[in-house]
Amino acid sequence: MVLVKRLLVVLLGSYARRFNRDDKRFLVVVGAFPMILLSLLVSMPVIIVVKSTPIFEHEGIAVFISSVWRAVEGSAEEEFYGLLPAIWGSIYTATIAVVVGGILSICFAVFVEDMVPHRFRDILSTLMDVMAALPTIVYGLWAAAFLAPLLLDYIYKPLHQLLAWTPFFSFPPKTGYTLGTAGVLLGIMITPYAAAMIREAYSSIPLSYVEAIYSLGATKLEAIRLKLGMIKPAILAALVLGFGRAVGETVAVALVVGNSLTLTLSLTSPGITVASLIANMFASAPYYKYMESALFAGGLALFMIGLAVNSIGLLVIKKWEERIGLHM
Amino acid sequence: MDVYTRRKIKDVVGRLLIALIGLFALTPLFHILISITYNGVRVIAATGVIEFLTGIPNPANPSNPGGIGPAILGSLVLAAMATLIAIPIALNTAIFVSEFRGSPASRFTILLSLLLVEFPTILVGLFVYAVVVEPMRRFSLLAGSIALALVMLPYVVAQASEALRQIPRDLREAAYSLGLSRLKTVYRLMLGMARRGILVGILIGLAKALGETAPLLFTVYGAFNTYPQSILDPGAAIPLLIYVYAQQPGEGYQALAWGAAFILLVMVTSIVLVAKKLVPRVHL
Repeated sequence: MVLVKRLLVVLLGSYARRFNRDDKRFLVVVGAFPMILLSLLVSMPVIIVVKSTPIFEHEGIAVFISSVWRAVEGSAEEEFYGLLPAIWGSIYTATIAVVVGGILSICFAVFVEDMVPHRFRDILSTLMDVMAALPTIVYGLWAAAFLAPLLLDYIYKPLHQLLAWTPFFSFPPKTGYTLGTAGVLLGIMITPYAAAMIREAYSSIPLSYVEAIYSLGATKLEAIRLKLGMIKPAILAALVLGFGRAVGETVAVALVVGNSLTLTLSLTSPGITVASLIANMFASAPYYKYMESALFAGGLALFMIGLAVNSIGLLVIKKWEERIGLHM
Repeated sequence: MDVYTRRKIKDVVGRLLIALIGLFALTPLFHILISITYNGVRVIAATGVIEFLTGIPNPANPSNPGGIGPAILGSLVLAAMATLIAIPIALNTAIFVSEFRGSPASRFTILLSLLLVEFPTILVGLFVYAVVVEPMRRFSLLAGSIALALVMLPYVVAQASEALRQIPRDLREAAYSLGLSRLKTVYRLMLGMARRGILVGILIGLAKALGETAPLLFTVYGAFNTYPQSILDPGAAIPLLIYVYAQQPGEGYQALAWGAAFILLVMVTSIVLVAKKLVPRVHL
């Protein structure tokens, strides 16, 4: 009993000492539900680890660092799955997304907060919310039909002619379904989320600071640069969380990335990501002994990347909120 | 050119560039809305609204590709069941978070919920595949709705706990002074007072659940051509249909995908706009 009480004090704060019978009954009823959430989040990685054990026993860590993909029906020993191209593709496309989405969202945030008259602000932020709410499959369908051909004709082909000697455009562009297209699409998709976070931080800069900047004779552009410097942690957090979202996106990427298991720096080459690999291969996995397990290992990789990235992002934003005196 | 003019020019050019890029960030949205509406309405007009909403796909005939009835029904059933599963867990978690606010347990719960929002939804699909589909040995609408409930949960928790937090303390003390127990105070009074925020949370969760594809890939499978007879049958959903049909060669498939995308777009944006109307600041 004493132990339970101690635990409650640690978890709920010192006023748990004064709980009467009514409070206890309340805690028993309501407290069960966060436990469900906790047990779900704990069992998710456990299940994924259990399901990916066979592939680790079969080929060890090579599943993460090899780029050989050999699916052989009927002879399990011949099977070999290396996820390196997919892991690389996920990280590469998410990095492109952060660059594209970062530029778009910072400019959008500054534009809305500093340049647009008050009465238009609501319209613009509603539009951004609609953009955030659009189903990812709609982005995918649109990008496959319009964005991919557009990038092929106006970006990849001219840049391949000019810059074929760089690794980024070395692959002769044949279709628009490439790593670059996936990255740009992801950048568009993370823009509304990043823009919302950056706007919130940007508008929270105290007016006295802004007035101090102008009193020194700064131009408006110089003021914008100083203000963006002040909210660096918030921008960093927005981009890190955007990276996390981009890494995990599945169907929109699967429709435009080209789905070829190649390890390349070239933006004009088809590639693959972990999530789109899982989505593509899962239906055929039952025909092989180890493929399902290999795909769960891909899920494990996604989980680890996601956990690391999102923890960093949430930590940065929390520190920032504490510093400027906002509390959750 | 003196320093002042140079700064002035830099200022004008820089701000112009920011404004242009800022506006450019919205162009994909407009192009998506216009192209999906144009292509979608064309397809739906060719088949007829009722036929498109209730019919069976017939992709072999591009000029009249039939309808997406089973997928629409599947989406509605999935969303309704996911909401039923998510609401009790989400509301009680929100109550816990706001009642014990500031405590380590409450903060940890908020953190878990935030992590769940940011997590790749395909992992939810893999998880539900392993714990529901494999033991039952069948793809089913039930498995899909469990996966969607997991997707919805954190959105409802975030919005509902914020609404609960905003209820003034004296109202709760007034309830206690009348001799109400803590459970009755929360369930009978506070949930009622926070109903707007809770409704918005559910709407946002619904919009997200309706648009999700990845968690459904390994859970409901795609039975696009038949109406499911029970929730233990494999089913279909609109996003799943778009994903599968968009990858098929053949104009009939493409036409159905565009029409389905338009229906999905209308459903999701209208839910989000209603939610925005009720509460200005929504957590997406």
